[in-house]
Amino acid sequence: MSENYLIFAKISQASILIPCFLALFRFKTLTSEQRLIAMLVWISSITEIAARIKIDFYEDPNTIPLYHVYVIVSFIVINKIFRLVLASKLELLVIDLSLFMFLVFAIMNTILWQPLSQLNSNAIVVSNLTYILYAVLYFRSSLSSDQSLNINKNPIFWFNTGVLLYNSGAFFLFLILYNYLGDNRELLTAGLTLNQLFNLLLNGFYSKSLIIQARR
Amino acid sequence: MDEYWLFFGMLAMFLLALGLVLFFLTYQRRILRQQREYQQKEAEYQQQLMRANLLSQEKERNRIGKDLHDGVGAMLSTSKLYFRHLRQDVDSEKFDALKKKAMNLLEETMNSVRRVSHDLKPVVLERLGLVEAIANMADQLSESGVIKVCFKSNWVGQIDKEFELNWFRIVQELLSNGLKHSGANEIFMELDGTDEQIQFQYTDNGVGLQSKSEASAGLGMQNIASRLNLMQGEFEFQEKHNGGFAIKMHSATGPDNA
Repeated sequence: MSENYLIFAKISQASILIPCFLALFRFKTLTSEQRLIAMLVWISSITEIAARIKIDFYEDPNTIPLYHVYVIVSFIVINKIFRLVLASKLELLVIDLSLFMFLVFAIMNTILWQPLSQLNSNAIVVSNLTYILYAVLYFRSSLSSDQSLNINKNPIFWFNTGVLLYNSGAFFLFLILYNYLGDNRELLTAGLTLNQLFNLLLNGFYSKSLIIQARR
Repeated sequence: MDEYWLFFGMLAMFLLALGLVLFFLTYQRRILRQQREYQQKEAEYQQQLMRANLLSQEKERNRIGKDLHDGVGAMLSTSKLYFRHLRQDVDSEKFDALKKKAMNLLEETMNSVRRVSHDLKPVVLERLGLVEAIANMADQLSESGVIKVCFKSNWVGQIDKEFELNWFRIVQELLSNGLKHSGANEIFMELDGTDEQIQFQYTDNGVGLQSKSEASAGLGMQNIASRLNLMQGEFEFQEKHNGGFAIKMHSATGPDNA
């Protein structure tokens, strides 16, 4: 992969530290939803740091096993966040069912189809789709609610927007690139560059959701 | 070529998501604006009702004040004059005549006070309840010969005292409007309901409404609306094919059932 890509990738990966430190300094003033976002951000940071240590100090470029665990753990946390903000019985049922089904699928995927040595693109694609569904459910729920939504005082709006935008782009990447375009390294680099850009955007939205002084 | 497909695909999905977010923001703003406009209209309506209520109270106070001053006040002043002339040394014929006039005036004064007091707090309503009070009003109007008022009721429920007075005043207002403005010679009223809800229907064969908005803007109707509002009640004008005026209203029977 090119030098430029690697630099850009490092910048994108390091950008998770911004919401990470924001969450650390503002933890006491955060609402319960924001604290879950903080937990998600810290989990992402720890995964990135662990991957970086593996590559730089142990000279082992295979960080894929970490992402097998990361995809499952982050799904659980994001599921918890949406469980807090969605209200109707049907929405909660969808959330609970999708958690159970995803956990079963992700574990079976690792055991049967995409072992620890291979990127779990199937699980990632399914999680992308699920997050898109959660985000749409949240917007629908907000529109049908009789309470006004002040986006300047609602951290979940920003979190939700980030999740929707990132996963919409990433879904196509992981679906097409890993499943249909084989070992085309150039294409992989191009796709991953775009992914890093979306990742920067996502971390920006995470930061915004943690900065906001939410209504309690 | 594959590159373009990949970029196109990712960008298309991203733009679709962005479009969804923008749609949400725009639609949400529209909903908020509509909610604000509705709340503003509701507040204006409440103010209008309150204003009508206060105007009506002032009008009533002025009328009572005028009745007391012109009626009771004048009669008591005249009575005082007669009593001043009642002296032991006046001949017995003149004494008896003066005494009779003074007593008649006192009798008239007492009737006037009774009438004013009845207007303030109707005795029939207090003693016999809403149904009897309305029936009494209907009978009194029918006996005048000017108009025929029919009242029917199968309702035997209980009603809160404040709600009862409100309903009495509503019926008074409707009858007053009917007599003054409608030119009707027949009025039909029906009271029905359950233990929790009371329903009232008023119909006359007068000139009817020019428009519903004009009727709603009248002070009398605003008073009725205001009283119904206090009881969490509602009213609706009804279409009458052969002319005349018809209105249906309902409310709870007490604050616990509202």
